Amino acid sequence: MTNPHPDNFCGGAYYDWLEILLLTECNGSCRWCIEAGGYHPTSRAPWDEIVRVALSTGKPNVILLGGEPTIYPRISDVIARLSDAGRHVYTTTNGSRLSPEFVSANLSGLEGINISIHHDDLARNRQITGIVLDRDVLRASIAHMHSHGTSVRLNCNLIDGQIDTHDGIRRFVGFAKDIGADSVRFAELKFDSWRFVDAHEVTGDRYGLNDEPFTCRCNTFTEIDGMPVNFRQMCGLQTEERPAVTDPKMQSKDVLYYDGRLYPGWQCAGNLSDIARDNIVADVAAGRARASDVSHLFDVVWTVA
Amino acid sequence: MGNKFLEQLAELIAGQLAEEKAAELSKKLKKPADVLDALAAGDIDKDTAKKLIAKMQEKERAEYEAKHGRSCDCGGGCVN
Repeated sequence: MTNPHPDNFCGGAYYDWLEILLLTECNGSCRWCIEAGGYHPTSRAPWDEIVRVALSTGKPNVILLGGEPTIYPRISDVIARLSDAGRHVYTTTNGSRLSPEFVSANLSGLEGINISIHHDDLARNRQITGIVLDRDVLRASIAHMHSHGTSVRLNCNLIDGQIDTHDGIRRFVGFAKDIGADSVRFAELKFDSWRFVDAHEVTGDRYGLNDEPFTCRCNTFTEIDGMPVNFRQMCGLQTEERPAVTDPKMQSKDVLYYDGRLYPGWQCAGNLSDIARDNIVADVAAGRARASDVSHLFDVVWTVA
Repeated sequence: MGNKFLEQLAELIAGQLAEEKAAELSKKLKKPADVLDALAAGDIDKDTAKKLIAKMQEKERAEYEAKHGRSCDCGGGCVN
C-alpha cells in the first residue's frame, strides 16, 4: 500500500474545502478541459438548494467551479448567502466577464479568486482558451477585487508550446505582477500526455519539485522574483508521464454537483460512483440522455481526446 | 470476457427475458455502452441495466487496477 504525501489533495489536505460544480456551460474552449467529458446530471437544483446542501456539509471553505462560474445566473446570490453564513468563498474563472462593474455587482463577497490565464501574451491565451482578455481591464478588475478584500491568484497551466520553459514561467510571473495579482499557480496538465510539460524538468531543483508527487508532494509553495508561486504537479494516477502508483491509499472528498447532490469525488470515467451510474441509466431509460453521449463515462480510465 | 461471466450476465437477464433470448443477448453485451444501447432500444429494463453495468464495471475495474492501479478523483489545477 502506498500512502500519499499528507499535504496532497488526496492525502488529507484541503479536507475543509467543498468543491461545487455550479454548471457545465462555459464560453471557453480549453482542449484539455477535464470537466467537459465528465458526468453531467440532467437535473438542476435551484441555487438556494445548492447553498443549503453546501452549508449542511459544515465545510468552512467553498470553491465555486464549472464550467464558467461567472455565467451562472445567480452567482452573486450564491456568494452572498455562503459568505453571510461565514463561509470563505472562492471561485475559478476564465476572466471573460471580469470588469470593475461586474466585480462590484456579483463577486464582492469572495475571499479569493483564481483567474485561469495560460499565457502572458493575451493573444496566445485567446488561441488556447478562446477567451478574449484585455490587460487594462484585468488590471482594473483586480484592483477592484482588492478593494473588496478579495485575493487574486492567476492559474497558468504548463502546456507544451506555450508556457513550457523556466524563462516562460518567469515572464508569466512578470505579467502577473504587472496586472496586480497576489500569487500564481503553475499546474501540470491532468490526463493529457500530448501537451504535458514536466514542471520539475523545466525548473530543475530551484523550487523543490520532484518526480514522484504522490509520495513526495504534489502541491509546492515557493517564490519567484518576489511573487508567491504554487506548483501543482500531477502524479502517476493523473498522468502517464509519471511512475504508476502501486496500491494507492487515497482519501476521497465529496463534490457538490448542480443537481444538489454530493458525490464521492469528481465523477468521470475511471471514477464513476454507483449514484452517478444509476442516474445515467435512469436518464437513458427515460430518454433524457443518449447512450452514445454518456457511454464513455463507463470507461475504466479517463482520456483526453 | 469468459464464459462464466457471460453466464452471469445471462442469469441477470433471465428474469426478464426467455432463457434463449437472454443467452443470445448476453453474448452481445460486452461493455457498458452495449448495455446502454440495449436499454435505449428497450431490450432490457433499467434495473437490469444497472445490474449488468455494475457487474461489468466491477470486472473491468479489477482488471484495470490490477495492471495500472487506481484512478484519481481529485480535481485538476483549476481547483483549490
